[in-house]
Amino acid sequence: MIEVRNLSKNYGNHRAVRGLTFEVAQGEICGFLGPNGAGKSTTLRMITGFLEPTEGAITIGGVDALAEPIEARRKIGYMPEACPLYPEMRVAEYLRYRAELKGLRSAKIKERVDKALHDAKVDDVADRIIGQLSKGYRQRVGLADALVADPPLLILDEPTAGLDPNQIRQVRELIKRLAADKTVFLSTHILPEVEAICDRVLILNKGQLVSEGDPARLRDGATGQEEVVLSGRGDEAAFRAALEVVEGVRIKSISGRADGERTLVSATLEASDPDAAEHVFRAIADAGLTLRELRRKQASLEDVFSRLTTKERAAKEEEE
Amino acid sequence: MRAAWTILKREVYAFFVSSMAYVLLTAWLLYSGVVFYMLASYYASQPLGAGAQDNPLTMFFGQTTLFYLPMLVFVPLVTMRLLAEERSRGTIEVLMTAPVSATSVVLGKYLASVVVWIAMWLPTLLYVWLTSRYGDVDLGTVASSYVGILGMGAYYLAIGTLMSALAKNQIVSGILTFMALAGLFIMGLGQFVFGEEYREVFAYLSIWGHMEAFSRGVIDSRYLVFDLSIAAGTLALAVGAVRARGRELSLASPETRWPLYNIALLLALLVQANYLSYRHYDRWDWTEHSIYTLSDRTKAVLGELDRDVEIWILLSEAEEGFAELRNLLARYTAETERLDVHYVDPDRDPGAYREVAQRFELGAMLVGESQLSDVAAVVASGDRHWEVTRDDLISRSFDPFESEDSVELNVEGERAITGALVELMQGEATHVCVTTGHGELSVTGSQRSLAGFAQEMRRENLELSDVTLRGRDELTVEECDALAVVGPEVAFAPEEIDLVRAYVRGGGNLLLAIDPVVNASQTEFVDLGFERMLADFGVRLDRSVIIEPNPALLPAGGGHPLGPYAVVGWGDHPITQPFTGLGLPIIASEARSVRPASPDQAAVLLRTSEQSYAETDLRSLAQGAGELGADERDIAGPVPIAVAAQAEVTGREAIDEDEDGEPDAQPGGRVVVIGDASMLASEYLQEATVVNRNFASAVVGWLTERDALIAIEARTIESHPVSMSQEDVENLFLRVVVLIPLAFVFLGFAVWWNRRQ
Repeated sequence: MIEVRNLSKNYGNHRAVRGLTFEVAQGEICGFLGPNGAGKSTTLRMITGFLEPTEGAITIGGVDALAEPIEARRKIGYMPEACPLYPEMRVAEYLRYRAELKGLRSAKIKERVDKALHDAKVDDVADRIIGQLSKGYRQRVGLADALVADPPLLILDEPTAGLDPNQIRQVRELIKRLAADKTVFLSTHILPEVEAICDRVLILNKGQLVSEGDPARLRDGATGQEEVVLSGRGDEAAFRAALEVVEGVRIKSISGRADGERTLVSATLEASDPDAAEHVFRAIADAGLTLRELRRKQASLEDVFSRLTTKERAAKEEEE
Repeated sequence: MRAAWTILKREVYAFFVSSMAYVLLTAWLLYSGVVFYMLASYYASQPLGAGAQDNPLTMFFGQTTLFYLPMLVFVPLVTMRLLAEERSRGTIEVLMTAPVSATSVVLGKYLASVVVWIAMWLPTLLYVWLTSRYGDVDLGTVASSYVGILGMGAYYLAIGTLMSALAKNQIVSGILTFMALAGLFIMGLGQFVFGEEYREVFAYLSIWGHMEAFSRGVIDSRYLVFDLSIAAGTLALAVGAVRARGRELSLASPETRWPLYNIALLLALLVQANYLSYRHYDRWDWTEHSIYTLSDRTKAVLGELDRDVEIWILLSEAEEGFAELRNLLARYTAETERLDVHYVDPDRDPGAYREVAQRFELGAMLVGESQLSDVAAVVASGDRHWEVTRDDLISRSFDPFESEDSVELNVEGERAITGALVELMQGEATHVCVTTGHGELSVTGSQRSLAGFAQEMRRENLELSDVTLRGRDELTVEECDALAVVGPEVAFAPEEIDLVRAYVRGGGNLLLAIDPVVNASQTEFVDLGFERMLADFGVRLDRSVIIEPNPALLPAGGGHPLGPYAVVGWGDHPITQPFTGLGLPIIASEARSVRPASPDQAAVLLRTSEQSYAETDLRSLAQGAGELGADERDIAGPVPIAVAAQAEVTGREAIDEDEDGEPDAQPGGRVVVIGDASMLASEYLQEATVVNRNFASAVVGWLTERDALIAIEARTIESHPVSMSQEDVENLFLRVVVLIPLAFVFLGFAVWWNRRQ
């Protein structure tokens, strides 16, 4: 659905995107992952035709987006980051305007607007003025706009940014539902989001693609340095003894403190095994100690990137 | 382009739901209301308005700075949002990633601003309606004023759109637009600063110059082409700016999306289009009375100009009718490229005026600070030139026979200018011989002189000179194009009469102006010898004197029934044609009746009133001073006092064959007999409110076959000027300054109330 070849964008001397090449297949939900400033939005803006690339080629559903930008845009429903809207319009009016702007025949406009209102779950605010809506509603109005012309490709820039957890869940479910008959390309800087909904993920750093693959593989790579955090009641030495024998785990820190009559122990373990937490649980239970909390602490995105970029640098140095 | 329509709709919607719209509209209508009220109350305080064009409406539409200055503020307020707001809100990203072209976006936004512009001006139609309640409103002029406003809007709003496309936010956009428009406006003011050779160019660039034509009912194709081409060019730049997203305007950047050669090409195209339109333009006259439409005669004369002609207009811009004259001359220059018009203001540029005066020996007098000469225009070609007086160009007259609030404006400029052109194109001066030796008025005579008449005629290239008939064998057409006998007191000798008869039969033209002459004892009318001869030409010269008892035709405050009195009964003849619809009188005094012997031999030019009669019995008149009244021997009114006849031609080919086989336009032998010599006296010739001079000029013109002088009507525009009482003015204040703006305050409040949740 999307084919990007050797895409670059310079802002003066700053090279925001450097020679990106990737594809997004039809029917896929593809995540575009990267820290802030990695060039995600710039890339999406080039794909949607808002920005012109410095070099490179973009094909949308077989249409050369640079030669026929309007034809290419017809295939895209785009929701920009921060989701800008006209605050003076009413929701349904706005969607009707957008539907007309996207070239829908007047006979189909009402039907499509109703469907978009329903799909994005904004039908209850259809007659409200956009400027008076909450952030979550506005985000969904933006989503409805992306859906209204029923495009085969949805490009969503940070679709869950600024939403509360409940809203995030709803949006994710919606995207999953839409993916049944659409290709979705979404950018995010939240790792679990990619895990939650994406079939495939592209990781961008400093304008370059650093990794590509399915979320599980990414996770594998990233969880090599997983940490397990626990706290329990009992003697610090007993805990240390129990934990030291667990396979694939190394104690990073352990401490105990008195809380009235009880002693509370908390520890952080470095784990190389994905199932390390289970082993720890069993070991603590077998030792007859009381566990108050046990959780896996996932490696932060920053960790992933630092590792990926370090690898890269190392590879480069090797080449040289 | 459907996208442009969609964007236009949304843009207009967004404007009219914003409270800003109603603040803007209210401010605008309050401002125009105050201006209109001020102009109206100024006019109400004037004793009398003048033409149909001279009313508060015409002033309101572009004749004062008060019209232009708010444009510099309101246009930026309308356009600053267009694209700059999309950019500052970020919605530009949603807009430009929809399948729409930059052209559609710019066009939709721009046209939306045009709609707002129209909405701003629509309420001013109420001013037109209000004005029409107090006097005549020339709807054609109003329509052309709105065309001008639309053209100006097209031009200004396009600049605003471009600035909105370039600017980062609304404030910057508004300030940039204001600066651009103010710059253009100040540049346009050059027309009032620089000399006349640059005036046209600056007037072309300045909306002030445009509105001067539009607000007077003239649609000038040049100005429309200018407005629309600048708008198109500016919008093309705006499209470029939107494509470039306003990001990479740095010309140094290699990836700049702003190719310089495109701009150069656009500029070249604009200059080319404007140059062509400036050279080949048209002006359409939308005024109700077509005051700026040239007669077919003028068009023919202009079409046949075979050499370059220059016209100097030596009038101050403050002069009444100056603007009308300028518009008229613009029509002339639109018709031909051979004509150049220069305006020299004697008050503002005395140096240039002196130069022109010296060059053409105008004999200007320096009185105090100001130059005085009654020559208002000089038409020159090569070493020949022709002078036109101020009165010839334009005069306003108050018709004493019409109601008091009716005013007439004579647009005689065309007649004067075209006549001058014809004269220039023709060869030598026409000679009119004036007889002497019988107590007549003569050119060189010391007592009863034709000097005033001669001076008037000289302006029309007629040379008057005295001639003595006694002792001559022959008077030829080569010698005298026409012969004038004005007011003889002594009878002509039979040899002299024979000489005149032979002259007319040989193709000569005769003007006889003969008062009734009585014998020394005042008992009998005296025959001056012409009666028999005139009978041969089909004219009866009666021994009578006309009595005019109608007090309405006598001077106010009472006059004598023998005269002077006004004569308004025009006959049907090419000479009188210009005067028939005019309603202006000719003044006669102590006249005798002159009648056609039969209707097919001679035509009546002028008749006195129904009530008048010609007294044939001098004795009864002398005795019964108190008892006026026609008896059966008198000639009942209306009494003809001037006739024109064509003598049979003998001794000369009736029709000369020219090279082209066309009949020569000089069959000759024309005779005009007027029963009154005082009609041609200087005192009446110089009177502006009577047509003695025009009539004399037309008579001589017809006699000497110079149709140019008679074929163009002096047009008269009758109008009922706007007149308002103090109460009307107060009413107007309530309506335009209070009610109309208040209506928009309520409208804005209603919209706000409706959208509040």
